[in-house]
Amino acid sequence: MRHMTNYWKRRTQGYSRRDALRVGSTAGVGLATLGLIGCGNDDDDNGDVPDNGDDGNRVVDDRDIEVPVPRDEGRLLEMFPYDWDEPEEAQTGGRLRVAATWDVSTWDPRVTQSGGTNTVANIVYNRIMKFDLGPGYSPYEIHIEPDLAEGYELSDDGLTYTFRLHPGIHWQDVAPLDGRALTAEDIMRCYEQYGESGVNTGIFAAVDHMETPDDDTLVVHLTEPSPSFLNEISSRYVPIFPPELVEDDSIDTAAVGTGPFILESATTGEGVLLVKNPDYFEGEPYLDEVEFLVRPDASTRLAMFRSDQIEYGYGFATDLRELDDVLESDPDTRVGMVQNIGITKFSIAGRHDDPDSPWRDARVRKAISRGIDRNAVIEIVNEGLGGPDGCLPWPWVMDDPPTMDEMGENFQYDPEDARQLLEAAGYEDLNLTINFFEYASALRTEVETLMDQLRAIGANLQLGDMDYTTFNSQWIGAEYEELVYGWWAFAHEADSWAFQNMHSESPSNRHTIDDPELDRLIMDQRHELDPEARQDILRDIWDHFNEEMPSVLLTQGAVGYDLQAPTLHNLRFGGFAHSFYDWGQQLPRVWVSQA
Amino acid sequence: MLRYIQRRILLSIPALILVSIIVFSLTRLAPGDVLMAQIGDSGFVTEEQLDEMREQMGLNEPVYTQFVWWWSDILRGDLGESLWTGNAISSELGRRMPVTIQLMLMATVIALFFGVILGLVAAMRQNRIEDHASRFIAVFGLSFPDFWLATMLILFLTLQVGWMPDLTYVPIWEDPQTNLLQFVFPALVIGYRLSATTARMLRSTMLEVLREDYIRTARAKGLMTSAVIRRHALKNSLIPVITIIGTQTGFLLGGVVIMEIIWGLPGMGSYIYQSVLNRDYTVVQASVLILAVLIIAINLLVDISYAWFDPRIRYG
Repeated sequence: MRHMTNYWKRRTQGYSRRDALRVGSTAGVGLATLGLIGCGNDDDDNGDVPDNGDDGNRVVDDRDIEVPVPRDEGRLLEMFPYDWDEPEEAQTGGRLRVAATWDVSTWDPRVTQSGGTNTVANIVYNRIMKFDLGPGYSPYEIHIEPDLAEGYELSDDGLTYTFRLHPGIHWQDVAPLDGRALTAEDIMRCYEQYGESGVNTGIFAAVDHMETPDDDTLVVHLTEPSPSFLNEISSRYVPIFPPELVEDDSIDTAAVGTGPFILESATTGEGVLLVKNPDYFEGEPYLDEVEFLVRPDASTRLAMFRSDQIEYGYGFATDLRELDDVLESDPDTRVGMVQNIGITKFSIAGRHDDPDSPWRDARVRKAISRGIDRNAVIEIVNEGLGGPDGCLPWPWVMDDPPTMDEMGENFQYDPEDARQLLEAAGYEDLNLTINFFEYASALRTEVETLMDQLRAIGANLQLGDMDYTTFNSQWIGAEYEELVYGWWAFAHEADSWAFQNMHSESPSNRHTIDDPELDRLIMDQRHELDPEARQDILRDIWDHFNEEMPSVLLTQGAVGYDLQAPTLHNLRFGGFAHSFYDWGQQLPRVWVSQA
Repeated sequence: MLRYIQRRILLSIPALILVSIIVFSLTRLAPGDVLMAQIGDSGFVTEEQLDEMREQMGLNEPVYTQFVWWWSDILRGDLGESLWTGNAISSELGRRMPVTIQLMLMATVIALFFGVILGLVAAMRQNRIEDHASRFIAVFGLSFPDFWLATMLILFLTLQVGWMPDLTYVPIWEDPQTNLLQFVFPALVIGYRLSATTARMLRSTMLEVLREDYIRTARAKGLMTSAVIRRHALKNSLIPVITIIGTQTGFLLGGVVIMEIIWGLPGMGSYIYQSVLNRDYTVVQASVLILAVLIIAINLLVDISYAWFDPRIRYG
């Protein structure tokens, strides 16, 4: 069995998936103190890093976990199973080569959440707790498991977290750390850094103060219960870096952590090489080396995959036709199906804070929403594999993905009604520019399809094509003029998700939403300690948003794909914690077949 | 000659200053800055935090102050540090320039080789099948964009041939064979397009030169056709071609950017491209300045080479 907190075991045993989701989404809030949680890192009980066998191979233990089956994707599952059998014996050694879309950046996780920083930081560093990923983990749940801490304790009032560190963890044997022991004070100082400045200060906004009664214990006191705190500090955004790198001002160009791999070299435009940390506290990784090759061009990545120059790649097969092409030329390819459950979200945002903006008129927003034939969009963009998109990832709100009918009136395609709403609002001929950046070709197809549909109701949108940085400069500070095809800020818990994106006082409320009822509901769910009652409030937020449509919600494609060579084992991306940047948790148990 | 070179170098200084002012201004006119690229899709970032980060990067200083700082660094031989990575730009350029120069050189050699052959054949067999074929090949080369040709070449190699050169860069001094295989395909794509221009230019100038009196005289003296072409016609026809090659350097860099990205070559083109997207002002400024120096130097060499091709040209 893999290690799992007693907390999680107790909460999931005998409960339905819905219950598990609720617990996951309300982790640590309003629960009685469960004692110091964590089952340690007993190697006998650890399927991740078993003993070495005589032949140099290692036996991979069977996991005592129900393999999750993604729902409602029958057609796709037949073609590309989410999970597949792996060999029972893992081989050690070798190099895993990955084609990356990102380039080498600063290694300072305080200042950016860009792909390169995220990826490398989460391999070199650990977190205090972690989301576990990989074969055997449900894409619909967040599994919070021990990382540097062997568990945590939450006080009855939900205001105090006590983390007990796993014994015997050392920093990597690289200067300036030189393998010294990790202490609770290291983590406290790291968190203080995150709280002081940078892009993660919001995560620590609820922290009142911290203390370290001894070298192995960190106590975090919050100003108010924060349903998101544990999830967010367990996320890839908050790796634990040592104080030495801050003191000698080398944190942007150096990374020395406690993680499974050591940063060997990094060259902009070329790639990053990491070598295994033989002293890793969870055991020696299988792989000797991992190499990320910077290849921004999709056709280059695909060519490398086809010519066996990489074992893993993503972002070069975006639909079934492209997948068919790859499988025709490389029939042994494994297609990893990456579930989208609404964590990647785009909607049409407009200005609520401009008195002259037509977007302030609910009739205009509803007209736009009803003028969109979402089913047609799903057919055109996602080959029929997808559904309507809510304001929260649906697993936080309901058991099964919502159907179009369940989303309410504003999701139903009714061009006549839409036209009448526009007329009633005095905008028979609405002309607006919509800012757009092409994160993926499918997004362009979607936005152009929407523009085409909306033209029929008298809403003429002009596409404001922009490069990434121009787009961000207008979107991040909400400085756009009319409309934006804009993304939603990602968060790992319903509270932080809702507050960041929808609360009128959030700096990340780029949709400029100012809805007192939404504000009230968001604060209510934050302070509700009963999980079921809290989920009811989240449902109220969902329904209220669908009714008022302050930002016009669109559709979500069901899946994305990654391609794996048949020699690659034990790697899965998907679900809540999914990110192609989140390698660190999986990498120690990933291995590559040697010829 | 020496005085001519000195004068040209002196004249290039105001050109470089002008280039630096234009690049410095244009990079800052583009919306957004490096922070907007760097914080990516981050959740919580307040205006105050952004301001604080800009302060740390020196981006809140007046533009003229930043310009003076930059030039004072340049005059001390310091190209500065990347705002994005914090790495020294000089070491980054030192690593990337050989890649770009190798690609440009190989592309130019390929362009000259094929361009001269095609142009010669077309001129000597005017209005015959060879001429038509040569012009077709040239027009074909001009009609397709670099990135399309490169993508088709990659697809052809992977799907039809079942082979691809290693797309992880290896310096020529480490493994010449692998290195040349990595460069030959992108160089062929760039070189092919450039050879089309070269061939068309050479054809027209050759046709003109072949009608000159001194060619008729050479033939009348009983020289063999090959000698007439090699010693009299070709050398005189090459001046416009060399001029084209010189002026095409800038355009060549455009093709190099795309090829470096597609073929995974870590040269200056891909560096500048990514830096423009990242609003990494310091890198863009330094790189463009270096490229401006390179282009000025190449054009100076071209001008000097005229004297070799045509002894009547003298610089005083």
